[in-house]
Amino acid sequence: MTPAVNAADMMSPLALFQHADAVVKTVMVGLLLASIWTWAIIFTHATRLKRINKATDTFERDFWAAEDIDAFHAKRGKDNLPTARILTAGLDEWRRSTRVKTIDRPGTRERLERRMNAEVAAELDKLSDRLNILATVASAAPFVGLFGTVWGIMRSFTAIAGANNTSLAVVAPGIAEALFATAIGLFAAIPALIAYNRLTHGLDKLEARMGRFADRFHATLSRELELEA
Amino acid sequence: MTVDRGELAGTGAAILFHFALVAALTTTLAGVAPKPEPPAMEVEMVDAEEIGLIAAAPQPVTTPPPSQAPEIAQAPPAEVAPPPPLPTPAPPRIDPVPAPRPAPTTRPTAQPRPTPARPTPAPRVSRLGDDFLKGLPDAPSRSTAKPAAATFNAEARASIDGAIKRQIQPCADDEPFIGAGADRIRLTLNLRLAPSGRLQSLNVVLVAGDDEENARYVPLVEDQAKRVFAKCSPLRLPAELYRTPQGGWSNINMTYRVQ
Repeated sequence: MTPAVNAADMMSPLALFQHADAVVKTVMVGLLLASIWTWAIIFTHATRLKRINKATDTFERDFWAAEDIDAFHAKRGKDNLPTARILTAGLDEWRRSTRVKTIDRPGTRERLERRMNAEVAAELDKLSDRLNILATVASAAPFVGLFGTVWGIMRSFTAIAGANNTSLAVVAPGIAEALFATAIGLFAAIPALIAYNRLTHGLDKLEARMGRFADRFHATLSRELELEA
Repeated sequence: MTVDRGELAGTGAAILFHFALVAALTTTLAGVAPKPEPPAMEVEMVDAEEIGLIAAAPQPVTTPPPSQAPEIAQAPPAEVAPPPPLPTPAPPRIDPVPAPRPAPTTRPTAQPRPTPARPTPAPRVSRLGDDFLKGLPDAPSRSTAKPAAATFNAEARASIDGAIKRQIQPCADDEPFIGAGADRIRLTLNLRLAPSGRLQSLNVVLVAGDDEENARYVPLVEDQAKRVFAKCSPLRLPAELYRTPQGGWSNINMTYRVQ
């Protein structure tokens, strides 16, 4: 086997992992799990956001075109959508406040606003769940990888001192294995950082959209309140 | 913390993605075609100053060559008949006598080629007499009949050095890189070899080319030289040059330099 083929074999991720020190192996496994978790969050949130945006378009279009809100709610109120839940919360508060004989209009408006805003916040909390993990991986993974690299290089230099041989063939493999830890750390951190920024931006847009829907629905109910005797 | 179907699908996709990535990196990197190795640098094993360490003097000739120095004689009379044909060595170039072939200068012991004598044309204008060849013995010189023995001259020495260099080159190629500046170190090695070519002993007699930067590599270069010669032993060298009066490869000095 030629030295070049040996070098190619040594660059294989599995070979680099097998030859690494136990501490570096632990770091590599941890970073790999972090990377898998990161990508799981990315896949999950990206598909969820896309599905919610698409379904919300249809829901809002149908809602504002509907003649009877109660009938629309009876038909679409159970949809698994943040906007549908905001609608349900608003209607629920409306029914509670208008069930009494004497309606407190300012109080009803305030309760409607608070109830729907609370529903928007709750939806946002659910949607942004685990995004903090992306932020954590993006900021911590390079340092964890760097720790593995520093540890591996320390071990390499110790081995060099023991072997009393400074040839590149002795030095290079240990350094390559150590640097692999930083490579995995960056591999986990870079997508996490990009995805965090991208998903946060998408959630901000969805939050604004939910807020607009809540405000318009609040205005609709407020007008209905004026008509109530 | 609840996990819904979407999260399970995302986790599964992430795991598959990582498996595919690791597999692709492994197969891609393992399938990289090896770069063609650059042509190996030749290890310079011979120094010009060492080629002539053992003088390769010509073999002495016991019988002195015949004197060809002419004796001054009286100018012969013009009517004297030319001498009978006689195989004679070439005389010194003197006009108008026909020019003989000059004796080869590279072989002092070689006998000049005998040439058939020609009648000397008359009248002579040379101041040399006809008896200027009288010092030449009739019998040919005995030194010319002796076959040439193997001599360990500079040419043979260079040939032996080249042969050793070629034979240790594969073992030197396998040695790892020692460090920057180690290639400037030159070791003069004394090799003692058995007639079979097996290395009996190797001693470092001189270290050159070391400085502050690469002095720490000198022991490593010495170890490498010993490993290389031990690994490639026995050496295949011409047996007739093992031991000659002028020396031989039984005890030879060589210069070793890291490739």
